[in-house]
Amino acid sequence: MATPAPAQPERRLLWHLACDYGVVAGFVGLAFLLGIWTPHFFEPYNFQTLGEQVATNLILSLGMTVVILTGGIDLSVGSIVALSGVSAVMALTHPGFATAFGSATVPAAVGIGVLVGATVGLVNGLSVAHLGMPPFIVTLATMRICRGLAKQIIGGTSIGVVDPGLPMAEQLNANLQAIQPLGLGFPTPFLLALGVTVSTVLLLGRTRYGRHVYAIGGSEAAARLSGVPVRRVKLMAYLLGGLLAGLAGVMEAGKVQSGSPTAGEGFELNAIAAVVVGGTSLAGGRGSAVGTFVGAVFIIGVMNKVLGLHNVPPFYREVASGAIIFVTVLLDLWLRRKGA
Amino acid sequence: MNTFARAAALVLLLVASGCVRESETESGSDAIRMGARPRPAAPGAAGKQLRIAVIPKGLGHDFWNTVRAGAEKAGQEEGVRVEWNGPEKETQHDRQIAIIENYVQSGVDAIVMAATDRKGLVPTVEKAAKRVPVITIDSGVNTDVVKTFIGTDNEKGAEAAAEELNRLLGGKGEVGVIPFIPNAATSDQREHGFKKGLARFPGLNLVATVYSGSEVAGGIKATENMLTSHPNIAGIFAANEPAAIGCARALETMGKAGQVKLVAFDASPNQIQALQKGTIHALIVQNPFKMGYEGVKQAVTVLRGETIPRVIDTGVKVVTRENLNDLEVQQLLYPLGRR
Repeated sequence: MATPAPAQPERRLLWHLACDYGVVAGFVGLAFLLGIWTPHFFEPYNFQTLGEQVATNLILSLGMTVVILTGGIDLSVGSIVALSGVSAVMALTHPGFATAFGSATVPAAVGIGVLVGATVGLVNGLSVAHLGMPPFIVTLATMRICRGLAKQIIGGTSIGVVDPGLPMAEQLNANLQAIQPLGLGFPTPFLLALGVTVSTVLLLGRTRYGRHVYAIGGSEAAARLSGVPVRRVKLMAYLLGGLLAGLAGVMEAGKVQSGSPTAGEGFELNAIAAVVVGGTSLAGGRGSAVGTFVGAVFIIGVMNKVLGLHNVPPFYREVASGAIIFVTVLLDLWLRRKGA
Repeated sequence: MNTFARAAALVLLLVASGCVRESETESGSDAIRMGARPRPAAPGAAGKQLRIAVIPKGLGHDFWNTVRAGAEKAGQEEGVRVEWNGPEKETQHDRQIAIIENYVQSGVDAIVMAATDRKGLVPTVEKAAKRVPVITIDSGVNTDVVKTFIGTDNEKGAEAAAEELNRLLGGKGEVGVIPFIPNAATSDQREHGFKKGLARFPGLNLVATVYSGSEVAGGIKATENMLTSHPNIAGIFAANEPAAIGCARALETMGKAGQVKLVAFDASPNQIQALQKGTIHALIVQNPFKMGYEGVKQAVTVLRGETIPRVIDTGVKVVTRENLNDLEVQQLLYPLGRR
């Protein structure tokens, strides 16, 4: 019995490819068109600032992608940005800390910021994976706790450049200055974000851990029955999300040369938006880090840039960014239904 | 286990509701006491110490810390208790409303406040003013129930900024302005005052107005975008502290520090450092210390039953690298000595 020509599955494959990457290609194309419409868009300097402006959101979104793929959510990342930034800046501008660590002060302070994030991620992960608490509630709680702690440890105000009259001020301010390139300017922030992107793509696509993440998001019960270490995989997802948020916090602190307890407000929602417009399902199990990269850079990043260069008034900008999320997700849904 | 959790939750709930009821009755009786009480005793005289709530627009910036220092100085001098609380961010009108209501409920004797929103705070202020005198500092409210407004004439200050930019640019060039939030009184006044000032200098051409959202990151982004779409901008007026710091950071990273002339409102340590470095060319320095100080002083005067002027201008000073070390300027910049 001869099969009706291999063209059939091939065409199906093409159709699937079109549906999977069509949205992605479409948005890259749209970003290009918006760029043409925007004066000064295709200038090297503009791409440099674009790279800098999308970096922290991209990093947060990649951590969020892994968490969402397991069927979870992490609302605490915005507050982690504040807590980690505040901790790093406190370390950098503390005379005792600088004396104790000497020339290793800057890396040590960056490490503290990342570690603070990882610790919160660990708490999130333990609560979700081992105590069986709902991720939304757990991370809502840690979101408030971290925000409160960030305010408490520096007394509600922001902390930054040390007054020149104080002892060791010059050295401490030089320490603070040293983390600026992490968040401001080109290329460090963008390279960091790119590095995290590549690592996440490899983690999800090429490792057993990645396959487990998709398996859990697809069906947790089935994954457990087939021997996937569900708890460990989930724990690692939140830990990674927290760690990346810690890194983003240090970058933000570097950008503004200060630790502010209000830093990162709403960042968790921006990250979720990037993940979702990048085609990842909030129900888990379906999506990719590449999609998130496109969502964060080509959709949200370019959109903000275009609105910014056209100097759209701030309130319209919010309306526009909401509308774009709405339309993107609708389009994605519609194409997928056609494809299925 | 589950039963235990429920029982614990129930106990918590009972305790919580008990607390609420208790505090309600307390503030209720306080209100009666207040109504029946004659005019508060002069400070220092026998009786309860006066409590004056000072409510800033935000808690984060050095500007508000200096207001606080001024308020506390006046508090010490007058022997009154100064209580300080405000919203975390200057955009949180609802937080500020709650803070004002809580202070009125808790029976403070007067409120000194900087409004996060000129119009949105009107009902709250009018309600509060029925029970205690309200004085506005820095940012006023659109109602005449307040006893006085104490602050910078922001329009005049921004006009001075335009004048200074004109001097720095030698009378010609493209300029941009970074206000903070549309409809916030101070932001609008400075934007308007700057434009009014520019009108006197036909050589200066305003090509961009970009809002910072009163955040450093917003100031960075505003500057980057502004200079991408208008590469010929030669001068920028940053209308407050976060905008100025953000703008200075962006200019430094772009290698345009010193080339683009930057005039900024306020004078935090960050800004003073940028002035010394040459990234910022002139600071329009207000007198936040005096705002806090006069706020509390005038509140006490009102509580004594005396009348006070409707508006008190605390003035601005243009500070450049040339006059930075003058004694008068140093006292303005470091009202309490260096921290």
